[in-house]
Amino acid sequence: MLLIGIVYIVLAPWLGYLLSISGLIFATTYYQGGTVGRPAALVALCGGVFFWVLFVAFMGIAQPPGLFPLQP
Amino acid sequence: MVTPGLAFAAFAGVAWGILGGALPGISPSITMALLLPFTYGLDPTNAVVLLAATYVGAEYGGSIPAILIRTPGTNAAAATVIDGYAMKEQGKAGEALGISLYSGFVGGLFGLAVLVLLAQPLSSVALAFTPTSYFALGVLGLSVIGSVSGDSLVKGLMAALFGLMISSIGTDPVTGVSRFTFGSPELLSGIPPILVMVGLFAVGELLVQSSEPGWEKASSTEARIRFPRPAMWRRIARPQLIGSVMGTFEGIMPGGGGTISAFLAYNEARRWSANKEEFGKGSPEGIAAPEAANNTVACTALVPMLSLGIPSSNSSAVLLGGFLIHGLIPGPMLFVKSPDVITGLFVGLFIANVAMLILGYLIMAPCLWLVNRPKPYLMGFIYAFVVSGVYAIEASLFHVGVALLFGVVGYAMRYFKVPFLPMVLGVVLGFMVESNYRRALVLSSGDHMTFLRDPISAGLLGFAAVFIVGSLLRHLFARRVQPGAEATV
Repeated sequence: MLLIGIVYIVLAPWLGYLLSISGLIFATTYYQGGTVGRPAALVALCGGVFFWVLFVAFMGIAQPPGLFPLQP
Repeated sequence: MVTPGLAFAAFAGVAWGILGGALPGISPSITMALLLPFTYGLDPTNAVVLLAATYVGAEYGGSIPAILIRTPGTNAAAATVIDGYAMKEQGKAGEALGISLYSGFVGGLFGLAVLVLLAQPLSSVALAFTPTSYFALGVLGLSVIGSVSGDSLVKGLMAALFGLMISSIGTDPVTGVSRFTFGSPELLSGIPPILVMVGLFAVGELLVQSSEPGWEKASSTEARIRFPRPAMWRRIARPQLIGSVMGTFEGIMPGGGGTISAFLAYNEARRWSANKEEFGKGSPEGIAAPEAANNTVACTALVPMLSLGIPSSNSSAVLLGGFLIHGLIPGPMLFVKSPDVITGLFVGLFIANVAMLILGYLIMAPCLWLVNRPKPYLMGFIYAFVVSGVYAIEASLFHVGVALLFGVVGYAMRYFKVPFLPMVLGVVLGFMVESNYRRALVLSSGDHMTFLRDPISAGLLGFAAVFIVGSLLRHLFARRVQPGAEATV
């Protein structure tokens, strides 16, 4: 779990919030014993979009922009 | 007085609290800590109402899995399991949930009345406070470490010392010299208490939960809340009163908290009940007393926190963090400097209790849906929520790293059974004690007798001495009763 957090800290400045937070959800789900496959990836991506919409687009809270920042 | 933002904060906090409290392993303090970073951008009054309302909601939320799946959502709901689950086995889950919700509402209002009556009068001495008095107040806060150290005073003192060490990181408050920053510009302003709290409570718990098995699923068909009828109101009135009184004492006392008050209330309700034999077999009184107690604590725990700046439980420590984020220093001057925040908090708590009654009924379905989600997905989303929240504080990934580091510390503290609250007290009160100690000495030209000449300071230091001696005696007595109790330290 800790390693997943560290990898997030390292990758977020490059990948940006949307991709890195999706990756964090996917990796945590996998580590916790969730089945790896298309449904898990889809849930992780939907989770990333949900968090991006909630924090960045809706609440205007800063999150790592990454090399190719998404504008709300 | 009641703005839309305030009402929204109260309702949103209660909803979040019920959802968080209903997840086994997620305590009220963790539910509040998850929300803490997001209060930065809010109006100060709305921010503290949001956190306080979360506390109120979480205390009720904990009883949902306690009744439905025999797993308390919060520690304080452990006493509710006994009769709540027995009622569920008899097909009365809806009635048990209704009694829990109604008793929580009664306890919450009782606690709020106590909070308003006790906290306000203390504001009258606020203007007499000098740096000398503030130092003594900080020492009084630190003196409760013995009471909140659990079984081991040594572990509590170690945790408090660690907290004090963390509070000394950053720029010296008088000379401006950098201390323990190791050349890192990010550490010049010190480590914000919020990072310590989120790390200890939220990240630490995530690390612990990652090695725990998943919890039982709840059936949605048996979870229709049924509010008690007038005959039942009369029957549970006495245990509710017992619970409220227990919650009042335990909330105000350092280290008391909802868990102890719930069990004390349960025992006393049984002692004074005409239906003693029903306890443990599905007694409504066995639900009413602990639920009234732990919801009373959600308000009365704020008495020492607001009036003296001393958190008496983990949840009130997190709420204290919410105040500090907005530059509000809980203590006597808060009533003078920010009376609007205090009034807003009281009003917000009243709305929160009403909201609990409404949302407790409406939110049951989404609550059960959440509890029944696969644990791996829940963990992923909670982890994402934590890192997003910590980054949002100052748009800093360094802060995320610090929170993760304190998560490891929290995990280790849980493993070695070291209490959190002494460390949080050290982190929160360390700067206040140090800066006011040195200011007082500058004003008195280095004369230490100034702390005894100031009547408020002398009185507070006297109380602190009584607390310290009392804690030492209590721990020594406990060791005599149970020889070798601290042999593992």
